This record gives sequence, structure tokens and C-alpha cells, in this order.
Amino acid sequence: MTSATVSVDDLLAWIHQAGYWRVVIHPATFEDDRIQTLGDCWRLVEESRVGQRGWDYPYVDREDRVIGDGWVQCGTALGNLIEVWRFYQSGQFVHHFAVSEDREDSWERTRTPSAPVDAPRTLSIFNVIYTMAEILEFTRRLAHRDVFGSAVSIRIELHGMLGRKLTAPPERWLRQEYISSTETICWERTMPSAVLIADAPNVAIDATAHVFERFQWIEPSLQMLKDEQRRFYEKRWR
Amino acid sequence: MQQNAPDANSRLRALITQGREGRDREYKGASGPNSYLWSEYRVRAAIARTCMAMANIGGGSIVIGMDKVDNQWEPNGVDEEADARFQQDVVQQFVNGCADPYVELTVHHFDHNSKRFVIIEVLGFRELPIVCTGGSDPLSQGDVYTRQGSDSLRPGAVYTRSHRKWETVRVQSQLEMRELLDRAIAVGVQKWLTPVFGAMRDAGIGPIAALTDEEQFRAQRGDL
Repeated sequence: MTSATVSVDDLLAWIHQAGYWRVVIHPATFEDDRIQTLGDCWRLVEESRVGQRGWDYPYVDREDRVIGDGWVQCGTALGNLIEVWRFYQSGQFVHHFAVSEDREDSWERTRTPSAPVDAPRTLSIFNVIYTMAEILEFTRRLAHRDVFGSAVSIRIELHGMLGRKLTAPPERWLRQEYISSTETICWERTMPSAVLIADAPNVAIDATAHVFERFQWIEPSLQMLKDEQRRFYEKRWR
Repeated sequence: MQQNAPDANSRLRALITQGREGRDREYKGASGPNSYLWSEYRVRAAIARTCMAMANIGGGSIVIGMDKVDNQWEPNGVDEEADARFQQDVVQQFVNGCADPYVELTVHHFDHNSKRFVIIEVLGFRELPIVCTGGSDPLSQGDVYTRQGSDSLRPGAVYTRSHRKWETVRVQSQLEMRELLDRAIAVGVQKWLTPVFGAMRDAGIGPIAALTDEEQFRAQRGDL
């Protein structure tokens, strides 16, 4: 079963069964046909995806491509990797993907979504650092291809966070439990495209620190976050 | 004399201190062979043409008291006599004597760094593009001017501001004509919609307002 045969409603229903990320990126000003063709839309995402880990951000596969009126879309449900994104000719990008920690992982991934685990909810701090770096790097690449014009708006949401605990190897990172008292965590910025192009890694650090603070982790060491982010860019991820 | 509000002062000051012309901003000196003295017909005609052109592109300004020296604009101001001749009613009467429909303009007398400047601000047309009628000059006992050449006010001409060089020209290209028509349509549609929206608001249907960019993106993505 390819995801092209699965409706966006089904994919979203699977994703929303447990914790999930929602990313909305768009230019500061609305122009319906900012990107000339749907082929250009697809090519822009394909060329801007970030492949630092084994799974690209975002997932792009022509077999799972859906073409709509003014947008292209791609989605998949492969084990604990469940996601769907849509990219409009206006330059708006919307992406929903499951918090992978909430799903059973398996070496034998099949094209069906794995069920949510029945265990206390967690969130890996490395996953947050890497995902933020991927989202901002992907946005930077789109900005570099002049998708957004002079300014870009970015909104990153984490849903299903209430009572969730941050996890990491205790000897290096966490001296106490950090638990979210918020159901939805949202980070949002509108900034000049030039600033994003020049400073995406630091913007990702801001977004990461924002999330950790909502887990009661006040003022996490920015140097530690930067060191870990550098490991990600150098593909020395954990 | 026109009294300016604080925000108007900062706007007028910016017109001087920016130090460069634009499609919607023209500088003129008040001294030398090309001085802008209202007593001269060529000056009155040029001001009328530029006011009509500014109105046709959506509005603009003429700043008098700027001299070009070594390719730089120097804010030298105007003398008392020149200042006194640019009066609101006189300028308005002359410009609208050769424009159809009328041009909305304001003559400001503005002090900056102890120097006096005359600034004519022109609003964009409200209804229809401005066409030159040739007109008559009350300073010249009712003569009708249909002169040829650059000093003339040509009846039937539609003036605009060039994209290639910051100057007033007659509409001659298809591009300039299309721009003018687009503006006329936009103004006309807005004029038509304003009472419609007002009636809908009065009837409790609404709120009616232009969608912001964020609202348009939100509407586009729907529930996604």
C-alpha cells in the first residue's frame, strides 16, 4: 500500500492518535501563485529536503505524491514514521508528523502505521534538537531559493505534551525530571529571509530552548545545545 | 498658510532629507537658470503636468528648494519671494484649470534647518485618470495655452511618471496605459465595494474587512 492510496484524512487521523508535530511555514505576504507551477513546487521541496539522518525532512517520494489544485502533497505511514505535508503555490508549507517516541519501533518497517505505545509519554531531547535543526535548515534552503520573498513566518507546534517527560542519557544531560505542564507547545517567528539564511542554526537553538523551557527546564545551556546541534550537522548524531 | 501636524512634519522632513528623486518625488531648485519661480509660465505648466502625472500614478510630491550640485541634491531652500508666490489657492486654481477631473493637492511651506521649502503633495485620483484640458492661465489674462513643445500643456494628453527616468511624460506605451487602467479599475472597484460593505455591516452581515495575509494563508490551508 502506498500512501498515495491513503487519504490525507486517514494519515492525519493516524498522526493525531498520539503526540505530533505541526509545522506551518509561509511568506509574510500572501500571493496565490508565487511559485509558477506545481512541478516547481515539488522540485523545491525535493531539492530542499534535509537528509542528515536516515529519514529525510520532509519525506519525499514520487510514489506517494498527490497533486491538488494549487498544491502538491506527500505522506507516508511507515512504522513509527507517519507524516504528511502539503506545499502550496503561495509558498505555504504545512507538515504534520507523529512524535516517533509514542510509537512502537521495529526493524521490519511495513507500510502501515504502528500503534501508539501504552507507556508514559517521553520526548528525546536529541530528537527535539535535531528536528528543530532540520525544520529550520529546510526553511533556510527554501528561503535561499527565494520562495518567501523578503520575509518568512514559521510556526512549530508540539501537541500532546501534557505530562510528557524529556529523556536523555542521565550522565550527560539531565539532573532532574523535566515534565511538560502544557498540552500544546508553540514557537512562532516572522523574520527577514536574509536573517534566516544567515542564522538558521541559531534560530533553531532559540526554538529548541523555547520547547525545553515549557518542560520546566529553565535556561538550558545554550552551549550544550549548540554542541549537540553541531554533532547533528556533522552527522555524528546519537 | 498650511499648518502641519507632527506626523506630517516628519513625512515632509523625510521628503527633503532622503536626498533623491523617485517616481513619486520630484526635486526642483529655486535658483539659477532652471529656478522654479511661479511667475514663469514654464514653471506653472511643468508643475501642472507633474501634478497630473503624480495623481495618475497614485500620488506624489514636488519639493522646491533642492539644488543639484555635483550630482548631489543640496537642500538650499527658497527665498521669501519664491515662497510667497506658491500659494495654495493660486497653485490649485492653475492646476485644476487644466485638469479634468480635478487634482487634489496641498501646498506646504516647510522649515528645515532654518531654510524654507515649498512642498506640493498630490493625492492619487479618486475616480478617473486625469486628462489635461490645456486650460487657461489666470496670470495671463485668460489665454488658452495649446503650445507645442516641452513647455506646453497639451489638451487631451494624459501624463504619467516614467519608469525609465524620473520625469513626467505623456502616456505613450501600452505598459503605462495598462498601469493607468489597472489603477482606475482598482479605485472604481473600491468605490463600488465601500457602500456595499457598509450596507452589509449595517444589516449585521459581517464583519466585512479585507483579509490579512495570515488570514489568507489560514483560509488556504483550511483544517490542515
